[in-house]
Amino acid sequence: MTRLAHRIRPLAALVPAAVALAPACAPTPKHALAVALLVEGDAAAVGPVAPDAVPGLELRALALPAPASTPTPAPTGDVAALVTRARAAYAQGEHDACRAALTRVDLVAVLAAGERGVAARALTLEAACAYGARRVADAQAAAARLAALALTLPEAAVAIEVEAMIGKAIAEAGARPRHPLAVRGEAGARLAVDGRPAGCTLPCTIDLPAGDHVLAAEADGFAPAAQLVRVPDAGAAALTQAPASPELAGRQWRARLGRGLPPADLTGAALLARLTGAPRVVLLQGGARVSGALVVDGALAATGTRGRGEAPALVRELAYDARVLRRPPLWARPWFWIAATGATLLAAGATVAVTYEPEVRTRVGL
Amino acid sequence: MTRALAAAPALAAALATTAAACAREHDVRIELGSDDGTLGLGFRCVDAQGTPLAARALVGGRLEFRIVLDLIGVGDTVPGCRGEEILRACPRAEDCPTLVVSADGRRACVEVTVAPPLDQASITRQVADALRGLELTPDAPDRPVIVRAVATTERCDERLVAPAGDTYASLDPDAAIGCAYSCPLQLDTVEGAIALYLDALDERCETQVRACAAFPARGP
Repeated sequence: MTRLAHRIRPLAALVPAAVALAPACAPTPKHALAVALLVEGDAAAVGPVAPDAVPGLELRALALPAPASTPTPAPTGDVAALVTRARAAYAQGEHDACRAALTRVDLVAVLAAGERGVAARALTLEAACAYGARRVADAQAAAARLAALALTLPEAAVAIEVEAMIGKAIAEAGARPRHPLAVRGEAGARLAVDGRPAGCTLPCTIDLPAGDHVLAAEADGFAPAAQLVRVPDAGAAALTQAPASPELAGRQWRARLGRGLPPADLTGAALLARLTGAPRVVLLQGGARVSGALVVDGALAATGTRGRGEAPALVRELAYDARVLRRPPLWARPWFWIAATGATLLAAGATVAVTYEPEVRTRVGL
Repeated sequence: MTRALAAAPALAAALATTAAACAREHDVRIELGSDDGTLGLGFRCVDAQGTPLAARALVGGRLEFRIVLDLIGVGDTVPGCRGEEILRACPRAEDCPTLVVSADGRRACVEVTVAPPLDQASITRQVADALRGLELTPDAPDRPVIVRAVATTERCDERLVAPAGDTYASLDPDAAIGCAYSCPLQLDTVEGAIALYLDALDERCETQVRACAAFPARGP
């Protein structure tokens, strides 16, 4: 009684044929979409990913910027040299040369870079050299600026009179009332005032004593911005930050990784888009497993994890999840046919088990 | 994945092979009477004058006759046991052919010689000895059949035992000296022995023997 098995056999033969045809029916775009590919961490775990490893995508491998602990260091080396040169001139009594050297010091840039010590030395020397050149008013103005910026008097050898002038200015500045200053800019940007963190992110309002102050803002994805404001003349200030260059975005992204931040969160995704200049970016991180993120138009569109060496499959899944590629319909997926085959065999087995009647060979005799 | 898919037809083939390997062997024994020790009424019939039909087989003080055993197909359904029901299932002779089912394709036809004494017990024993070990078929057909045994004075010649197409030649009712048959049944479902009977109420059953032997052909 093998009639049922005879009926099942042709059906089983159809299954592999259908599976073989299914991938050919999967939808793929007419033209491959360019996707920038970044590999981070254990490259061996990620394995080689060919440009055409995922049908419908053209994967373009990009090199990540070299690791760096901090974003662009401020170029204060020249300033320090100018201050040293001014100091030497002051020591030799060449007060005009001293003042000439100090005029080339950009205090805003120095304070924006957080170099308060350099700024304090420059202003102290400026007061001393002005005093030496018998320009008392200029000396007092420099002392007042130093005091307003809340800089400390450096341990530099200047005239006692100058030290007294600066001490007096600091005392007067400390006694002055503080004035509120509303600062606007890129939301979330870190604000620094006079080279020190303000302890708030933009937009925020800070209280400052009267005088000139240097506001500086830093935000991932943007170039740093600094501005000199005069309090209380200005009740508000706006810091405008230009978008970061790809190089700067790369350094900022690296710095974020160094701080333990996720590589492809909201900000990380924006940085990846900026540093690659590509509308679609896949970041693969090799480790015990391979994790990946797909950034589309600067926003995180999909994340996923796969085993080592399964990078192409991971990229394909990310593309499906992010709708960069259209996920094939159920019937066009290999697993569907595997499951269907299994279910068919199971059903066939169950049917056979339930309905099977073994062949009976009946011998008839006497 | 490829391996899993390649395994699918192999699994199906394995299922089929396993199914084929699970064939059940089954034996059915034919008895010419109510039990192994007797011959049924169909083999003890007498004619209108009260002479046993078996007397027609007397040759020099011995009985010499043949017993022909047939499986007769009765269509796809199982009719009842009564003659009328069987005839309704077989409106034409070709509807209920004697089936060719033996291993060598030849009809089961056994020469029987019964030596004196010709009492019932002796006849029964010697007939049983002659038939012992006879196989009608190694694999009964998957359809309802009637099992029939005819005692006849006809020879086991080629006309009688060689198949004519899918059936055998009809038996001569005039040569019949005994006959018995079973109810229509599916042999694959039978457990144990099948007893053959003749539908008669007493030993004056020559007419029934003739009709039984001639079946599926109709009498005049």
